[in-house]
Amino acid sequence: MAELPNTTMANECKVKLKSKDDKIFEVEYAVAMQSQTLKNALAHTGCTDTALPLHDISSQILAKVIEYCEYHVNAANTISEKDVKTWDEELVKHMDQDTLFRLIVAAKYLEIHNLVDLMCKTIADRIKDKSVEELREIFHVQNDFTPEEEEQVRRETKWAHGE
Amino acid sequence: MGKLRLRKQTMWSDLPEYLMERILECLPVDCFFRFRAVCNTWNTLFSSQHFNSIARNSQPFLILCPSSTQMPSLLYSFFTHTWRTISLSFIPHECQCPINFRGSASGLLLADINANFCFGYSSPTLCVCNPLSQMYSLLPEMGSVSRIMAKAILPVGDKTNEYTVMVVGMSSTDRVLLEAYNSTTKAWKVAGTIPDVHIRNENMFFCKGSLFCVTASGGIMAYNVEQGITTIVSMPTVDAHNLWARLVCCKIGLVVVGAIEENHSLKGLIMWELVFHEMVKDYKWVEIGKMPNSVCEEFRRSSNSNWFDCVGVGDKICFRANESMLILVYDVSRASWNWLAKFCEDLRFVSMGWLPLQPMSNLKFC
Repeated sequence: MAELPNTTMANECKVKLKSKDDKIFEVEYAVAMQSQTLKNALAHTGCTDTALPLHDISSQILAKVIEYCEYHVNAANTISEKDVKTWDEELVKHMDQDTLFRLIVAAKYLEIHNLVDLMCKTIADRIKDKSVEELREIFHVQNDFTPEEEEQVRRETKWAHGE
Repeated sequence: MGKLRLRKQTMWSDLPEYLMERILECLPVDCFFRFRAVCNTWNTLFSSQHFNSIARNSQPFLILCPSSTQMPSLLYSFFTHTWRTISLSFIPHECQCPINFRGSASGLLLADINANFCFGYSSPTLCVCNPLSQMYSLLPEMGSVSRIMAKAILPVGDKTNEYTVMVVGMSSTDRVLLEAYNSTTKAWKVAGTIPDVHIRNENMFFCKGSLFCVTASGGIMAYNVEQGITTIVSMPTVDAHNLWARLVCCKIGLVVVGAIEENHSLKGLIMWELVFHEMVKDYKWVEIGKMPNSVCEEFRRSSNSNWFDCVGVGDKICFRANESMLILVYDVSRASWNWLAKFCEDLRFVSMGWLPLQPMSNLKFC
């Protein structure tokens, strides 16, 4: 994985990203490097004026991804772990299911590992108190147990369902 | 609501499997069990080796056990901060025989059913049960030990569902023996002899390859099971104070809880970890925490009784004054003290034994 050879160039390089809806975003090299995918792409192309196309990511989601990366590029060294956690929580606090879904898929595609982690924890948090029926609705899964199978599973996990 | 909802549903079902798994891994362990009822795929996933591995390494539950199977046990989850009741009526009892829960490992509880009152048996029947799966097993009588002094259940191996129960007791020829029960062979076998040591009470812990219990003279007996070596360790001392020491076993290892008493009331509390030094082949005490004065005062106020009990649950140590429904928790890794929500208002529950209970999702035996 080749880094840009000249660090001055690395500092001055601006990375252009194009969203699904053809909007161009410009970010600092260091910000883009948080994405393993972009890191690999730039290792091949070097610093380029051509925008890297992100066919499956809308501008709304890309903006959020960039917001996250811009905050985190400095956070590691200068901001306390507790404050970073609070910032992360604020970012996702009011996101609807739709946004959460699109954001986790984008984070995974771009391979921004701590953003994927954050999304996993956030989604898990949102679903942990849901009932079995609600979960089936959210994830669009059918109850494919036979009555006997369902009875057995419920019996084996009876304690978890009760109060 | 209809069409818009449908579109969202389709999207979530499009989530790649590996992402779905990663999300589910972040759930509190309680959900690993409850969500098995969603569908076949989720049932298989949560029962898999991978999820079981997460569950068995997570913070255990705290279970309060009654002395009668007619009463339910109370289960506390440190993930959801809630109490649940679990029935114990799956354990058979022919009469009002008291049942005492003494040990816990890998989601299994070890109990003795004292049938003295009913059938005049000289030794209690040992029972291993899994409260979460509602299964139990009555152990056959021991071959050599005729009077049990202490007992413990050992954790299940990584690859097998085999458990071991160890009993320290007197043989008919007055030798102190260690006898072990294996759940696969369903048989007892003498596993060693222990130099004539008087054990103070029945609480014995298995930790890092050794069995530990408190001796009548106030020291700690450490018996290395594999090597068959017994070591006696003196309790730590604090100046000239009287120290009332109790053993607990938690994630970091064996811990001694020393209560400093003055005028029959709790003045302070210190906890030490028993650390084995390979180089010198000896044990050393390392202080791991102290109860602050303010917390000590709150604890004194929680009950009129001077006596208290403590138990290790994962990386936490729980304290409860006799006759109190309030539990104080010390988090070893964070060095913090917290009170749990009261477990119930029913006074019948006030005298209960308690143990850690490790959630294991695929432990089936019987």
